[in-house]
Amino acid sequence: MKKTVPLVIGMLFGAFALAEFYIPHHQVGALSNEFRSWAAILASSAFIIGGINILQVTWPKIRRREPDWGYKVVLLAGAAVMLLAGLPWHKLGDAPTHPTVTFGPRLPAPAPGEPPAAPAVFVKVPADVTYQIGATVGAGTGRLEVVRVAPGEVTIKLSRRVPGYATLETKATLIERDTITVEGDPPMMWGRDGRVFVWIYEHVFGPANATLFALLAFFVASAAFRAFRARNTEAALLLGAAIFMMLGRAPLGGAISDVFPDFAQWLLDVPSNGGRRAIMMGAAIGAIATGLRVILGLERSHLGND
Amino acid sequence: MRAGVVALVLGLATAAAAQPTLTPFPDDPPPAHAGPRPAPPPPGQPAPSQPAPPPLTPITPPPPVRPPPAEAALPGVTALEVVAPPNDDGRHLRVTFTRAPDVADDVVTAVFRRVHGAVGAPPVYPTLLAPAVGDAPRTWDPTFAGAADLPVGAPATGDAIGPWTLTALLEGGEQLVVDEVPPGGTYEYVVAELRRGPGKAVLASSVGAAIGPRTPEAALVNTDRLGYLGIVLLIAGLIGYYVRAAKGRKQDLYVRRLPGVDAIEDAIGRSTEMGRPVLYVTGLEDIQNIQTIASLLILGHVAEKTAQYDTDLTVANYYPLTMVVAEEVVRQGYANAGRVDAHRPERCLFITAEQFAFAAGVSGIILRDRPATNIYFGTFYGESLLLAETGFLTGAVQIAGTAELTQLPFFITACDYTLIGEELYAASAYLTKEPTLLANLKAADAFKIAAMLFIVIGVTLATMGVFHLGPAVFK
Repeated sequence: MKKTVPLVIGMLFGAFALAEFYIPHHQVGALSNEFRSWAAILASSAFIIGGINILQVTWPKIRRREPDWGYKVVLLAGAAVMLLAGLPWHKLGDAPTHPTVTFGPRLPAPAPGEPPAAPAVFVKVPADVTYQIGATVGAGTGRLEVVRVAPGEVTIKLSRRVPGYATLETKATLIERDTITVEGDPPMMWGRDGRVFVWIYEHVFGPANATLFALLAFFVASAAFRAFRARNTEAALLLGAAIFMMLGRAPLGGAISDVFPDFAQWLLDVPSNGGRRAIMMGAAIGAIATGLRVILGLERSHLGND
Repeated sequence: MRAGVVALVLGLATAAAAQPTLTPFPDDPPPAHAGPRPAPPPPGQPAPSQPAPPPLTPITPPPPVRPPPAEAALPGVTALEVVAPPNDDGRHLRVTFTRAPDVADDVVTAVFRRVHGAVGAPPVYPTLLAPAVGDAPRTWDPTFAGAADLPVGAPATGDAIGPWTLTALLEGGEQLVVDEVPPGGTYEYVVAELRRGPGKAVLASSVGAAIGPRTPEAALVNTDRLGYLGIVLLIAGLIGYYVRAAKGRKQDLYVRRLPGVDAIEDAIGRSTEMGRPVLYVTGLEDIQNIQTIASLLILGHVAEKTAQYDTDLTVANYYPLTMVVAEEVVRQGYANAGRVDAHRPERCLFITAEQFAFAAGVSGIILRDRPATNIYFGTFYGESLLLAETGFLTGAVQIAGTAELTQLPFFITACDYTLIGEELYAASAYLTKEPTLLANLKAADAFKIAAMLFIVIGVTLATMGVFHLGPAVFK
């Protein structure tokens, strides 16, 4: 029973996932989406378990002052800071979501024969705030600025150039000679799009990530140095192909002879491509066979011995 | 009246008022002045089936209700057809039509849809333009149904006009729309050309071509994928055949050696002798990835061996769901070896779901714990060389396996053994030595021979210009 139930569940869901590929009916698709939702809920729940796992692994090492326990403190502190910064605290308060728009006195009536004056929008926002009044985009200066717009509905947006701040947005319907004053200060947000989270991501995580990625260049060099030692026939072939490829791709090879770029391209197009396709096809057949093995219940090693 | 300002009527809108005998759709509710519907069939006789879609007939331009056109009317579309696409899920209708030649660039095509028989609005099709006021250009009003004052705005996809929905506004001269519709309904369509002016306000419209009712059809089998189904069924049949054959045999099936898999037990033994742990990395994809599944199947065998040898096993996971499953697999492996008490769940680690942070975390484990054996099975990307080179620096025996073509050269360069592509999927069966699972490998090999024959025949036929086998089987 302990093995049979998981086996049957696996077989049923696996068979359904396989059949779904060949049955385009929308009700099958709806059922599939439902199952995907279950999977998404499971995956989300697993992240909580993952967080608990990190605590279970690191906290005892900190408590016992094991070697390099300081790194664990940094890990937990970093996770805690990102958790706190990632929660949408700004929704707890009553932060403004739209700018303050005040209608002022109307402009003087035009002289006979003259067209009526276009509506005027007075913008008063801090210096680091950008505004969009209809089609006009500008940056605040801290002083009162005037924007003339066409009569009709006008979209008013206030935002900051740096990410992590809310955008204040509203609409106003204006007719000739109207004047309005727009004021507002986009508040800082918290959460995934908030200022703190984005700042840490861009200024701490991003550079660290790029640094690690850049290390790859040195690892490639050291690995290539080892791989290109002609210890046997295969390694010698590899070395020869690599030399031709480097000469074909570098300007030096083309300067020596057109043969190098052409030969390098031939190496890619014919032998390399043939090998790649063979591996791909073999892997695809292996993947199908593995999937069928699990669906058909032949593979039971993950369920344990009888 | 400003030139170009015309009264617009869609389909047979005004026909209902001006020509009561012309009804565009068979089931349209009759206007108040129209005659009664035909009597229902007598009892005992089957009800007539849904009327066949009417063939496209040129729509007679009805006389305008609103101010008469001041310029030549826009030519409408012709050859309007609405059909359910083949192999559809029952949510689409394909609308095709032909535009008049030399249509100006400022003319767009609007496709309207309504539920068949919808009577939420007047039984005439709504006029799309507001009445003219002074010299102002006519403007579009999605809510305007013929009785409102001057509206503002421009047409946009999704606008509702009475029972009609503007499902597509084609600006690039397209003559085909695949319209997504709620399943199970029956729909009518009207397609009209619109000339737009400043602010994309509509200045003029052609008479709409109308068609309906049409019903989307949900296919039960995607015939375009039958070729792939054939592959799966053929492999399943081969598996069945070889499993049956394997059960009848007394001697083991021959499967070629996989040095990388054979090396796993040796490497674990080396770890035991050195008193260092074994590190197992399950790759960078989630549990639904077939390479991750293959990796977890192998993990069970590795856990069983480490339990037998009493060696620590550390499992590094990229996703927490993979970690949960990996922990269960390891627990089962220890149970298979009769060493459940030796299982330490805290050695199944969730590192992080960020690629290079994961690489840094695993590299840290390699450098701090100095495992004597590193096993990388699953899907890997750019971090593969970071991990493998770090492991090489510590002098560990490294075994890798992936079907990611771009990472294979890195693993081959930096690791002692590498399982290439299909070998990763074969490893679990190879380790068990069970006849039923080895039969699975034989079936895959048999299919490979069939695939090679298919390729050779297909290439020969295509080279001779006789027949293109591939495109015929796999659409």
